[in-house]
Amino acid sequence: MRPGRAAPYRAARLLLTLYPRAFRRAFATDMLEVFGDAWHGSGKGLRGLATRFRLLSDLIRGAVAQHLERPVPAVTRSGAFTTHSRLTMRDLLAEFRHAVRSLARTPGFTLAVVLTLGLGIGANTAIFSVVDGVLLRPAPFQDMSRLSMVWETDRRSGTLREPASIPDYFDFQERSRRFEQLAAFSPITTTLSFGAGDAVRVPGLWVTHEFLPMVGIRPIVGSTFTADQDRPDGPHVALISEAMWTERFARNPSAVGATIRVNEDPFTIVGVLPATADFGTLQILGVAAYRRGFADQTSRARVDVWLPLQADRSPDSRGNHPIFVAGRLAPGVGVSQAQQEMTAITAELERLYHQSNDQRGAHVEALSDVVFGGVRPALLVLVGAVALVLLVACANVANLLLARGAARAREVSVRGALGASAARLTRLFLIESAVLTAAGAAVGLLLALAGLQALLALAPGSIPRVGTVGVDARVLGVTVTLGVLISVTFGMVPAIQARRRGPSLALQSDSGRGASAGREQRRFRSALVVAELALAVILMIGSGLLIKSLWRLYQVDPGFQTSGVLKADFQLPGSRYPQPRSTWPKWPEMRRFALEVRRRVAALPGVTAVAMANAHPLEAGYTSSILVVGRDPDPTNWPEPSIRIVDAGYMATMQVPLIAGRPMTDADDLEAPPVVSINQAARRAYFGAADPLGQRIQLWGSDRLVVGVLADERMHGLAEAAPPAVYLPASQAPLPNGSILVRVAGEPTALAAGLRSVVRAVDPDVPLFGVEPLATTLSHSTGQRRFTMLVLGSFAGVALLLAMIGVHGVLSYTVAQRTREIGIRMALGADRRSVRSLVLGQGARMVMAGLGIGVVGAFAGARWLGSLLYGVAPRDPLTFGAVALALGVVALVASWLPARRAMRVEPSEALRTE
Amino acid sequence: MSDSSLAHLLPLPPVWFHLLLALTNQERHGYALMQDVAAQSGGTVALGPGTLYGALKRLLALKLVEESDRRPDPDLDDQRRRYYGLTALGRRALAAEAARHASLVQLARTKRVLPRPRPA
Repeated sequence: MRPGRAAPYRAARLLLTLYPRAFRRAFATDMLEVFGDAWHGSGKGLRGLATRFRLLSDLIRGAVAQHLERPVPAVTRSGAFTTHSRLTMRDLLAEFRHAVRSLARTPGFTLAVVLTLGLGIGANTAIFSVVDGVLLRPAPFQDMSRLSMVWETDRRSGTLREPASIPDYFDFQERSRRFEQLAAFSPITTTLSFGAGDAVRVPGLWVTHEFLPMVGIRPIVGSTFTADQDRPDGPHVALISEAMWTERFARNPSAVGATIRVNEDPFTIVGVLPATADFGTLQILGVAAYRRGFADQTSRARVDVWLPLQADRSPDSRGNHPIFVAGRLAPGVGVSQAQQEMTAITAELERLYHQSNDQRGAHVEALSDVVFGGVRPALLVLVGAVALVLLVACANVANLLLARGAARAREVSVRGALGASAARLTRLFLIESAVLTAAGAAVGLLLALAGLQALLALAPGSIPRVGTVGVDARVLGVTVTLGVLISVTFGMVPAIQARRRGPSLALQSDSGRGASAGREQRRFRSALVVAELALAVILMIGSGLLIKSLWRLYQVDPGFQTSGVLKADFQLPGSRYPQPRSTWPKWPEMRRFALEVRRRVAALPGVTAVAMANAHPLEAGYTSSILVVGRDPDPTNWPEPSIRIVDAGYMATMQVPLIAGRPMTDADDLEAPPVVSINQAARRAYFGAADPLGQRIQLWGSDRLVVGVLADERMHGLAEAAPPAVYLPASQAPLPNGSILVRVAGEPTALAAGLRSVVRAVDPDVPLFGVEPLATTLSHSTGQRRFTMLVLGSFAGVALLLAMIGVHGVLSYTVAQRTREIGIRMALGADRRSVRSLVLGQGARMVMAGLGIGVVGAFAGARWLGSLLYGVAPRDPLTFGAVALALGVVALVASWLPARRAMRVEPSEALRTE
Repeated sequence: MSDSSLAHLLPLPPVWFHLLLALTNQERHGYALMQDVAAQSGGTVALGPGTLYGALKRLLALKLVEESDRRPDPDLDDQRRRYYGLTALGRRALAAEAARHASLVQLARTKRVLPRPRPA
């Protein structure tokens, strides 16, 4: 039979490479032949499979044997030598089997060690993989340390991360010397369609032509925008993402030059950008004061299209701030120097353009701080936590190994007395440790993979590049090595001890009782457990604080009711819903759409209220400056409230209470006088103690009457106070885009299909996106906190479990060691209860010591949690107290069994010599 | 060569014993050898290519086995394959080991650990 290219032969050939070269040269061909014959002759079914499996494993065994063999000695040598060498492999296998059997005889111990090692290795690997993938890996941007954001600031509102105006941006470009390059970008959400129908709503970025080359992103195919394409009257060109290219064009290079429709207009694709191209976008937009665009919505948004900004440098747009500016520092220039220059430039612009640029400055911030700053503290806390868990795991393993070693001291001495060589004894313990470590590493790897999957699934999208994290082999290697070191060191201690002590001593008394070495060991082991307890306490306090923070956050009244509400975002295409500036607010098509949708949705079963608004309550939306008629605006604090356009059903749908005045209704239409409502924050900010009702606010060209005051809505998330807001009725300010909000009697998701079909019936070309219960949107906003809390909480749980195993282990060992002593005490009249207190007392002492050290450590380290906490002081006494109580209870449970065992000691039996 | 030179070879590991036994009176190549050993040991000694050639390497080194010049029946022959056969030393070692087993069996029979053969 000819060895062919089939899979079994390939496998066999691969395994043959494991053999030493000389052996291969001599036998490889024959072995392959034999393998082939045996493989094809191995019969069918299960037996056939078993035979084939044995064939493959035989190849591996043979390779190991070849490598372990000593060279064949000359025939004239003494017999013992020859015998020894030819039995080496069998010896090792026998010893291996013996070690496994011995470990199997103490399943509790083996399981404990393997699980502990596995947990420590697994948790470490998973977390370090995340940290490496997110923080440590080099960024896809070229030389990211030289990139910074150039935010504008507003001294009146104190915001530091505002977008800039286009004329300002051009002035920055012309005047700056300390930036070698500046570029701008702006987020949009737009509708893309490829061919007939089939529209999809995607996040996108407007970018100036310098942007992509500046950050160092190169297209996979095609090219980025040229200066010519970036003119205000420039052509309709676009760049698409790698994902979109794969999905829609099957990675065909002919996508370059293809036409897609962007918001109904035809655009030509000029290139495809790699998956890493939108690195940091979510994070940058997320920290911006406003104009966050798609960064506000559900997590893991991905930029799918880039369009040239085609900035129009018209002078009247200086009061408008639509773009974000980033720059590459000139060589040798630091961030503070760049800051100085920008401050000077903005001061000059302030002087020249007092109307628009009053109180505006600049803030230069390193890009890596912006992108990573939000997650760095959380991730580092997690790294600290997992290191603690690893320490606890190692201490536990050490403890378990020492205990077992001490228990086997007699066995070791007996073996030694019977003639086992030192090498043999060492090998015995080494092999046991190797088996334990291998098993632990295997469990650890499985846990790491599973844990990483769980982490990535739970991780909020605000963690940069979390989608591309994988298991880090380096970290696995380091942790496994650590495990090996621990196992070998503490596993070998008994062997070394026994040898040093000599066989006779160990054979006399029972295992080290009374021997000073034994007591020393006991103290060391107790110290280990105390350390474990302290570490567990620190972790528990940390996660307790985070849990309390999250709980506090959930207590915050957002000002609106999210449960039972379904949200859907919409965008009306400009072709069928014209938006001519001259006729605003008379845009009848839009009004018709809104009324029709509202009517039909209200008729759906289960709907109790429906509303449309320009932004749902968890969206920051946009702001605009207003003028309170009759009050001279404070020049240092020009009012710029959040603008909310809502229809008559909004208050009922979101259940926002009316504080004063009247709600706005459909009667407030284009024939009626223009009205607004304000929220309490706006009242406090603009009217102080005076009654706002009846006052007028100038906004968008008309004076509007204030008719109502609404309760505050926390539009910037639960953790931030509500901004001042002004509400306009949709009947007086039509909605080209926004959210449909539906309050449902039952489960919101059940209505999604119905809602979609209603909108489709009204206008089939209006896509709905972001359809989800508002409660989901809310929970996404606390996603990162929850994530950190869950992870830290699991670590704390693991550490506690390990520490308890440690406590139990030490106490059991103590009882076993002191059985004779206990027997004597009982014989002398001590009652069982005092014996129990003896054991419990030892346990309590360890717990107190651990608690004390842990609390001190937590006190000292709690401030590192600082930025992650909300509404909780780092030294919150309630949390500390709860942890102490929990620890006490759990420790009591762990001590119970050994204490009972001590109680059950029969003095007569205990006093008999073992 | 004297018996003393055989002493260091005994006791023969079971795998070697079976290989030498299978090569008695015939030359064999790898796969056939494997099957013969499996058959004559009743399946207890199951060799694979790795262990087979590992053992053969040692047997060759100790000169208990040699590559054969002669080929069996040309119909069964395959040019590429190597055939192995016993050396004189191998034959003697096999006999010595069998004798050792025999004397052990005799001892066991004396002590009634094994039943004595019934007279026919």
